[in-house]
Order: sequence, then structure tokens, then C-alpha cells
Amino acid sequence: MKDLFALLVRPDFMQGMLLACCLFLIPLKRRQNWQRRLAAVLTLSLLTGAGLSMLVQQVGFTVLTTMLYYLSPLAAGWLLIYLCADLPVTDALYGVSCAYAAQHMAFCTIVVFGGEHVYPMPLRRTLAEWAVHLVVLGLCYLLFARRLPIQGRYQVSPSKAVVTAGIVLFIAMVLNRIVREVWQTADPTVYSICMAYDFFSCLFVLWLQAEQRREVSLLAAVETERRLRLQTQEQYELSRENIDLINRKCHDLKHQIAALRFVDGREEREASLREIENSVMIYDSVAKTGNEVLDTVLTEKSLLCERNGISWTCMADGHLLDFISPVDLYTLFGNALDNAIEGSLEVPDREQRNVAVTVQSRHGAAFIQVENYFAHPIQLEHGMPRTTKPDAENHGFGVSSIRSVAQRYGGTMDISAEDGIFLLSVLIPIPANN
Amino acid sequence: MRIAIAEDDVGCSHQLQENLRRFGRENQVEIRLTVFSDGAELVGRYSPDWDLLLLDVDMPNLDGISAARCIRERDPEVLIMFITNLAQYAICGYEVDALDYVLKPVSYYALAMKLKKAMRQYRRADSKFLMLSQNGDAVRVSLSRLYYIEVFNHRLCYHTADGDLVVTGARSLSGAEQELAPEGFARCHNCYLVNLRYVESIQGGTVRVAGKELAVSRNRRKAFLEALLAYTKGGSME
Repeated sequence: MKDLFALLVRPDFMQGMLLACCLFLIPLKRRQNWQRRLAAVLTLSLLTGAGLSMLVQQVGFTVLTTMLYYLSPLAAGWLLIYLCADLPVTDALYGVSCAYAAQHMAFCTIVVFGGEHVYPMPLRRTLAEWAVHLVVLGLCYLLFARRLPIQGRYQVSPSKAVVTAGIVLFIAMVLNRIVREVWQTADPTVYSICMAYDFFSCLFVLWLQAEQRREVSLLAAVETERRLRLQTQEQYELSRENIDLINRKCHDLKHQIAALRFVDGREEREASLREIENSVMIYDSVAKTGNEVLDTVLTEKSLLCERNGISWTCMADGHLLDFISPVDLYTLFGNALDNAIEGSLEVPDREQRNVAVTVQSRHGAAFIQVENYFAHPIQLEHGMPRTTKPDAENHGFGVSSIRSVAQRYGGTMDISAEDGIFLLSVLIPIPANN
Repeated sequence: MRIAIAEDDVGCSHQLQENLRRFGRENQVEIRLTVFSDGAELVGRYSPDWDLLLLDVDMPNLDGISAARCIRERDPEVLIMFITNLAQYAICGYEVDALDYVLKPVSYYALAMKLKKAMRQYRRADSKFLMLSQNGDAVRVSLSRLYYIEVFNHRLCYHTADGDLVVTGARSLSGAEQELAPEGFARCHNCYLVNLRYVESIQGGTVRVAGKELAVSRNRRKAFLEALLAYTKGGSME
């Protein structure tokens, strides 16, 4: 029993990896029941590690035991991150690679300053090794681990995850072993220098990851700001045009009412009144869909349609969309309608300028469709339309905004452009508590 | 496509019929029209023989919306579209699960766009079957009554409206998936192949199919949702 305890408490590879992965887990978005999963993985891994250590003590380092001994902590770390954090397997691979780089740095520090492990390990040594682990891993957490996730996930491509894993594995395991075989006993000085090289290589890898992340965030922030500025300008122009339209209507109305005073016959009065009625009916097409935000978007776009001779229909159960935040809803419908209107404008035949909007409940989800006729052949690239606008830099984001809103609420979007009709469909599951 | 029109204004009715025939010609679709001049007449003689109903909202005896309500009670599947001169009367068409509405005066192209939508969404007669063998007997399972297929212990269990059927055999769920994907079936999990028609709701990691809660695995969720959207949208399932 005492032996088992000693094995569990030693700062071996397994324990080091588990500690590193726990620290890297902190800034990640965690799954439900993560505490229970963490406890389970830790217990299982520690016991496995102890078991393997005992096995090695019995049988020595054969090819099989070596592989098991060195790969099991990595597998355990990968499992820990994948089971406790809410991210895909490739993200977990990336996480465990970075954690391994950090753990390896701790290991190199120990070897350079304290030489190789000695078994059985005296208490002072055990405590010192743990201290080094805590300091190095703690610094890695503060400097790197915290900076890597975006909204709780790494969001790295599978290739980046695999390449990072490959590089770290190569430095920390393959090269390390070779160096150890060649120089550990033959030339301890060179060995220590190689360990120092190892340390700095891993440090460089981690630093590079953090730097890359930072630059990406910076670029994204700059981009967002630019788009925002552009949108604000468009908003202003739209506002101004709307106000102009309303001013003109009011002006006409004033004259019509003034003229009404001088109308005598009943029929003429009827005709004048009907004319006034018609000119105020710009708001007829506007829905009372039951959702204020949707009503607002539709009102705004209806003026645009009216100005451009686009006829449109909207059959929407607005209440279905109450769970979506106003900004997201405005983004979704604003962009969808803008695209539909622009597409309609390019159609030469005025009769074909039609936009249809529907929002219905299907399969417990909000099913949104916006369709219009279109003129140019639209090319779809990865399911997204390639923008035909000359100012490609500033446009073409509309559809990707819609997609990201849909995905953020756990839904999905589809675009099809066939048979002369451009159809945008969105399906978003409605949360249960609504 | 079999269409019934209920429109009291003779002029509008003729216009509509012309537009529908033109649509049929231009899109190579056979259109069979039945014309009513009143909602009450349509409701009185209603039978599930039509694919699409075009109802004028404003009719003297029985208006379009009320007619739609009566018809929906008897036939939850038929496609309904309203015709109106003021949008605000048809805006609540979703209450009777209407497809959409058209504004008067009916422009051919506006109507054509919605008719294409109707064509995407109308379900042809559900007469497809699966032939299975259970204990040596041949059993026919109608696809429209099949809720989902589950696999456990190397056996496939077919959950249908008429009960559950367990079948042993060489068939795998992936094989069934390949066969049934064009019929509106999708895999939400390694163990489940779901008939999208019976999906009632999706919440996070579970999907409710005909009252039963099934798990949705993380890596299949995205594809499953996309299949559901494609099914809802209609059109060809390829």
C-alpha cells in the first residue's frame, strides 16, 4: 500500500501531464458534469500510471512497456480535455499538445538543475520536483494557456492540431529519447545543453501559439470595427432617404387635404379621400407579426421596396422568434432582406421583382424562408454565394452573418439558387422553456 | 398537381385560372383545376383529392380563413394558399399552417414563385414500403408509418406506428441509411436512423421522434440538422 501511495504521489510523467491538462482546462468551456468526469479520468489515469510504473519495475523497459509508459499520459491528457471540455476531438488534440509542451518544459528544468530521477525518490526531491512543476506549469498557464481559447474553444483546424501535436511529440519524445540514449551517460554536459534546447523549443512553440491567437483577435477586431463603421454609414443614408420619403408624402398629403376643402360634390370628395387613403397606405404591407424586432426590420425594408417597385409578402409567426436576441434577429432578417432586395433589383423585368418571407413552426423549430427572383448566374462557393459586387471587400458578409447567427442558436442555414429563384432557408430549434 | 380554387369574383377567378394554366405550360407540370365560387361549397364537397387549395380571404358565405380552419381539421396535409388584397388579413395564415399568400391583383410571377414552393413541399402519395423478413415471414413496413430504426445487439428494431419489429439479419443501419436517405431519413446517432417526418423537436443533445427522446451524437448533429432543413425545404432529396 505504501508503495502504491509512493507511486501515485511522485511527480512522474503521468502526474505532470494530468496537472498540465487540468490547468489548460481552466479557461475552456466545460461540459455538464465535468467535475465527475474529471474525477473519474484522474482516478483512472493515476491508477493506470501507477500500474504501469509497477509493471516497468518488474519487467523493465521493453518496447511494449516503453510505449505504454510514455503514450498513456498523453492519451489520458487527451481524454481529460475531450471529456471535460465542450470542444471537438481535434481541439482536444491541440490542447493536449500544448499541455505536453508545458509539462516537458517542467521536466527539462528538473533535469538540468537536478539531474535525472532517482528511485526511490527522497521526500525532499519529490517536493522540489512538485514545486518546479507548479512554478513552470503555473507560468505557462498565466502566459499561454489563458490566451489560447476563443470563447472557451480553441477553434483550430484539424491540420493545425495535427501539425502542432506532431511537432511537440517530435521534440519532446522522439528527439529527447535519442539525445538521452546518446549522451545521458556518455556526455552529461551536452545532455544538459540539449535539455535546455528542448526547454526553449517548447517555450517557443507555446509563445508562437499565444502570439498567433493575439494577432488573429486583433485582426478580427479591426475588421469588425471597419464593418461597423460602414454599416453605420449605410444606416445613416437609409435613414435620410426614409425621412425624405416621409417628408414628401406629408407634403403631398398637406396639399390634398387643403384641396379637399374646396371640393363640393360627394363623388369628388370620395375620390379625393380615396387618393389620400392610398398615399397613406405605405404601411399596409407591414406585418404585425407579434415580434417587435421583426416588425421593425419589415417596416424599414418595406419603405425600400416601395421606393424600388418591389412587391413583397410576409407570412410570419413572429412569436416563434422571441428567443432570439434583437441584434441577432435584426442581423438575420436585415441581411436576408437586403440580399433579396438587391437580387430583385437586378432583375430586368419589373414584374419579377418579388420577395417572399415566411416564418413558420416546423419540427419544433423556427423555419424561415426568404426568396426572390434573381438575374445573374450566382456561383455558390462552399454553399455561400460569391459576391458579384464590385466592392468585394465591403460586401458579401451578409450571408456569413446569417449563417453565424443560425449556428449560434444551434440551427443551420441553406442557400439554393435554381430555377431562377434564390432561396435562403434557416432552421433554428426553439428552446424548450419558451 | 391538383388545385382547387375558391374565389367569388368571376374576373379574378378567370385570371387565376389563366395564370395557373400558364404556369403549367411554362414549367411542364400537369395542372388539374377545380373551381369553386364560394368557401362553403369547397368545404361542403371537400375530400383529400387536392394537392393545393387557393382560397380568397374575402368571400360572402364562408371566408377563406374560416374555410381553411374547417378543412385543416379534416386534412392536416393539404397545402393552402390565400389570395387577398390586403396583407394584414392573411398575415396570420400560419395559424392554419398555410403555405403563403398572394396579393391581389395577382401578378403571374409572384404566383409562380409560390407555386414553385408548393411543388417543393407537396408530398406525393406515401406508398413506399420496406420488405423485411422476420422469423422467415415476409413483413411489409410502410415508410410513412415508420418512426425510426434502432440498432442494438446487432439487430435492427423498426419502431412503427403499428408497433416495434425486431429483425435479425445481415442488414446494417448504414445500409438502411443509404437506402432510405432519399426518402427523408437521417442518422442522428450511431444507433438511430430517424424518419424526419416525425421529428417533433430538437433540444441540445436530444431529438424527440414520435414522442420518444433519442440521443443526438455531437459529431452527427450538424449533418442531421442540415438533413432536417433539406427535408423541410422540400424539393428533390438527392
